[in-house]
Amino acid sequence: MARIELQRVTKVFNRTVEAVKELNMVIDDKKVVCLLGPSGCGKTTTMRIIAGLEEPTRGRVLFDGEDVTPLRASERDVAMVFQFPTVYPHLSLYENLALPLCGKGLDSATIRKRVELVVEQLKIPGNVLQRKASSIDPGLRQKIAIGRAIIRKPKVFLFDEPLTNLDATARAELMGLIKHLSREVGQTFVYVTHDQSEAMSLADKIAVMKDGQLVQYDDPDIVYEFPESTFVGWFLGNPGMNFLRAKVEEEKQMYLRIGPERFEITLPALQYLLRKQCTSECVVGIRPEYVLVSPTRREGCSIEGSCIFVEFIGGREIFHIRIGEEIEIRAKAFPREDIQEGQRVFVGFPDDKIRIFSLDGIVLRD
Amino acid sequence: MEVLLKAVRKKFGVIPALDGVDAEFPHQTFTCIYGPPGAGKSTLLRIIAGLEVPDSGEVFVGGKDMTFAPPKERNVSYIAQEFALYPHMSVFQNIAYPLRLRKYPEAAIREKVLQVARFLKIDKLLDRRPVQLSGGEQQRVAIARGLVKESSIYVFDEPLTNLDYKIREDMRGEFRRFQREFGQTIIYATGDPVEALSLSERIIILNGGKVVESGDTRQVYRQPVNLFTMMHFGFPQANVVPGEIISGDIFSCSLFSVKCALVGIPRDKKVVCTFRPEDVALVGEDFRGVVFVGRVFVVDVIGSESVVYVRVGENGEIIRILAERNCRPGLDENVKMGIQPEKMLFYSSLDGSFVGKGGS
Repeated sequence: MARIELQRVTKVFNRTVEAVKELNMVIDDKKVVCLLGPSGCGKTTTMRIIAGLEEPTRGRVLFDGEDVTPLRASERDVAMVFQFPTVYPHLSLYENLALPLCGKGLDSATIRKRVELVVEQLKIPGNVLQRKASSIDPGLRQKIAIGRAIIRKPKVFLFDEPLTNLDATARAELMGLIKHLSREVGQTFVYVTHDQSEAMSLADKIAVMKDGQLVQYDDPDIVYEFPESTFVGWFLGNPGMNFLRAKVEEEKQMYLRIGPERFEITLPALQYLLRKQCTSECVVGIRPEYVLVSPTRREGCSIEGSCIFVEFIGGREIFHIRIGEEIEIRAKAFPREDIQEGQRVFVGFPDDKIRIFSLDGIVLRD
Repeated sequence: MEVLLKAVRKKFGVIPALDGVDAEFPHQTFTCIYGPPGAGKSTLLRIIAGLEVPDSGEVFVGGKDMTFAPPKERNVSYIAQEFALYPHMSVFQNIAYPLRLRKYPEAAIREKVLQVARFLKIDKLLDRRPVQLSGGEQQRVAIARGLVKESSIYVFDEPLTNLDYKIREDMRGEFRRFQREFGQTIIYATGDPVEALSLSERIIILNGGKVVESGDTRQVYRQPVNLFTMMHFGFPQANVVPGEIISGDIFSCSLFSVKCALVGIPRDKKVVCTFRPEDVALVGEDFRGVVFVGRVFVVDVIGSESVVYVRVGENGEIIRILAERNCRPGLDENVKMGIQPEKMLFYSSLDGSFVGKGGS
């Protein structure tokens, strides 16, 4: 059991590189939190600070209200699983799993029981347990590393991109397993990843990081549907949000002008928001799966464009659509026959799916 | 220029890496070689590039027998998965290196490097050293170094595998743009089904050193001639329900019975019914098609879609449904699933060969 709190945590490497800047964050007990962001955003450093493998330059780390900043990793009761799993190649899989329990005064029957439980939880086939760890495939090796973490029953589990170096099949299997474990074990999980689908699938809360800072921290659905910035809108989603520079034109109705096209919009708050910002320009964000596409002009689908490329990805297609000379957006939908490459199309953005950002990429709201 | 492989075999020690591969890579076409780790993808690429010589079989490049020709005679540019940049050189010099080797004049080198760098959006990084770049930027430099040579055939070995998810998404677009703009023959190995689907016009499915099948990428996805392809080429994985053929043209299993159009019935009549996760849906009372019931096991939101896992039948087998992201049935809820019979594909349980489609 552990509620983790980071208070104004800053980490500077080599006196100049600020890897983490003034990070404030609370991870509630028994929750699964994903630290999500591109390479170099500070997510791994943050996790290593939670683990006690890095000392923050400034700030404090609290476990259940108690300051653990001066404590080493071994004194914090945390278990880590790394991108490159650490197993002892000369030991058997059984010995690898049992190792964290050795020297703790447990009798061999208890150890055997705990190992058997972990083997069952991780669905490790019993007939491989006597094999040397040097001879196993990467997926099983990562399973053993996870097993070594859970067998200790620590307060906190920390995962650093555990699936990055696995092939698609092994990745899918382990993803399901970790998700299941996080519910079954009932402990605090912190999981670092660059893959938005892993974070969406696993997390109770997603912490999106960029340039050493926490840029949004919320439920996966909120982060996905209501990004605080264009960065978050782009980073989440497969593919990410479309962004179009737009200008508001008022006559009897309100219109958004996007390149040569303009369309009526009924967002009552928009006018007020832009007036507050003293501008008539903004960035319109819309997710590809919410863009409507039609071969003919119709109500709600009035922006003219041309389909320049149809990207087939199996269960869905991504239509790459050009509006005017310079604007390109993506629409994602079920494969359909009525939209072909080179064809003229009409797109629409449902009012309730449009998000409005300032020109520097911060969401506008009242 | 096209590439043709005939009955290519290659062993490393006693382990066959390629076990009689026939493959065709048409002129100015983007072909992906798709397969699990250990399928023989890298060996195949290295043989095309001339970095390995096959034990037997022939390699034709542009109609000429190049089986034993050294790499420099082939006009093939090979970009390895594990690329190595020269750490002491700037990005510019790294990209220019292949042209320097070929003794290009300095002005021509500058022009070509700038052109490729602009294309890959690394033209602002030319003065930096590799260590000052992110992984994605380093990968682009390696790709630029491969592209700068102006070959007629480009061979890429899983170039995006170790990159961040978002960079992979961007780079997919870049590879397509490159092929469309310059129109070369591209041969690209990958283990990621979405990448293969998104990039390629033609696909070769490789497993255990053998070609499982090949053809137009969409065609292969929609109607694979082999169960292996159906179960491995696609994400999420396809659904499979075992059963048998009764009374001529009826497939029957514990969940449903359906009429089918069969091209051949295996002797033991045991077949599996398969269908893609995007072709099955949660349905209401008015759905017309094949209907069966189950209990929701997991709902996995993966971005713009959800994958709903439903347990069905006595053994609790899992059915995967690719649904919109707002599709969120409750856990353990009893649900009804529906599918059009034409979307079902049947394969022999014995050897995985195609047996027929649903519908009549």
